[in-house]
Amino acid sequence: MTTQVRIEVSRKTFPASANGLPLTVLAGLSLTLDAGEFVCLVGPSGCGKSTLLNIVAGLDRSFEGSVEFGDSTEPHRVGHVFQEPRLLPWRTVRQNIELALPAEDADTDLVDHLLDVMELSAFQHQYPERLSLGMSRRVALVRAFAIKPTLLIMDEPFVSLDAPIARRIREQLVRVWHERPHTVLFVTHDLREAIALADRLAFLCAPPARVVAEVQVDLPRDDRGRESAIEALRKRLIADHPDVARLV
Amino acid sequence: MRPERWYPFAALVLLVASWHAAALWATSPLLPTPVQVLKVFVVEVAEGGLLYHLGITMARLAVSFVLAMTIGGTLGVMLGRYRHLDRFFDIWLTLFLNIPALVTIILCYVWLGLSEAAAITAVVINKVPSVVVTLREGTRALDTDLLEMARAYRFGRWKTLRHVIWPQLLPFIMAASRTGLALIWKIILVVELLGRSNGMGYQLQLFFQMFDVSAILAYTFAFVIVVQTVEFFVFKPLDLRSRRWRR
Repeated sequence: MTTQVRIEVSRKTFPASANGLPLTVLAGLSLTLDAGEFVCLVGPSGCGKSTLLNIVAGLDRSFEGSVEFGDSTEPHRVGHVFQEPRLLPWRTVRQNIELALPAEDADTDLVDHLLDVMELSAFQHQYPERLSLGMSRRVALVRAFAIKPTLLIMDEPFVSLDAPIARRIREQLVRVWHERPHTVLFVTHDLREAIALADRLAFLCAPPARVVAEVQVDLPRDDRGRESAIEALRKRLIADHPDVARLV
Repeated sequence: MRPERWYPFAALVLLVASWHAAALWATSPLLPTPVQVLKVFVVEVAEGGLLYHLGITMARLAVSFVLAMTIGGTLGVMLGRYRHLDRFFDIWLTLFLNIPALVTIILCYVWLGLSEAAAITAVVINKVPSVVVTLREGTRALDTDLLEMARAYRFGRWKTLRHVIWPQLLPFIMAASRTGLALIWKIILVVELLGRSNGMGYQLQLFFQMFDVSAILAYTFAFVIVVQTVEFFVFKPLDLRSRRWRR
């Protein structure tokens, strides 16, 4: 099960804080994710990417516009990977994952499989405080995949990891995604990471943010393990889209 | 075994020995020896007087403790959660925190009569404000990131309460319970002394009038044993359990 997502945000404003004016973060933003498509959202930090993700996930309903899933406006099952792992420290790895499973469709075999792919099986009865950051982030990925999401939302899930570890987890991510494709909205400020993962890139500008450019990534998935191929595409992309170059 | 393990034991022996020496030197009924106190303790236990009064006090303690924790906990969570409520009632809290315990006790007896209800009410009113303050802090400290995660994964009310909120409040509940018990122990004796005809406080008053220091010390001894038993068999295990996930 996978779904198309049509996002229209005509305006999202945060109310005035004690010492300032109301802040318009998003305006005139329009983005459609095709069913089963992996879309990377790229933009400068502080441009409202996390705000947009919260709107798409249905966590934030105070905005002008609409988010439509397939043929309804109710969010389907959404897997959410936050910037920090956000695991419950007083529950084990396994409990953290199983707590998120929907009651009507709890698939513990899938949990076993995902833990295995992410090399976490040996740690499933540990408490999160004993894990490294890389491992905690993998647990958060397993939790998101285990609920069999129709839409997977990821908010810079590999930030502050060493490059080799981040790369390894990216490979694992692509592997589990291929096993059971679903629509993905992935936020990053790292253009190389975006190229390595995405079918399509969507660029956001500084606030009030909207989608200023969309670029199809035509690099075959088999070539994406090679840094040189990614770097070549990145250079071409910046040459072709000078407006985008300013944003990243 | 490392020598430090013996320190508490040695310190206790030193205390009893100094007491004994002082009693021998004073040779007065106003400072009995440890052995004399122990004899009185055994007699009081055997004849049932001590156990009866201790039991009455324990029952009052249990009832007022449960009431104070429930009422104070509920109010604390509400004040921690709703900012306007907190702003509005903050002055009440400050006021109640600063009313001397003795005043509350006297007023409760004056307004409600010398009854069991008045005694319990007095203890509860003394304890509730500090529970409110502790649980208000705990509620304010709740991790909003985890609450958002629970919402994203549709935990629902019950799951969120049990797995996200309760474990975060537990250390604050433990802290409120421990300080609460210590406070109630002390207040309840005054309550009994002023307006009840049974319980530890009442007995201590009788012994005071008869200048029976041995009995006063024997009752104190019983008291300390009970407090330490509760601490050791209830609070320590609960505390360990609530912390086992920590590194």
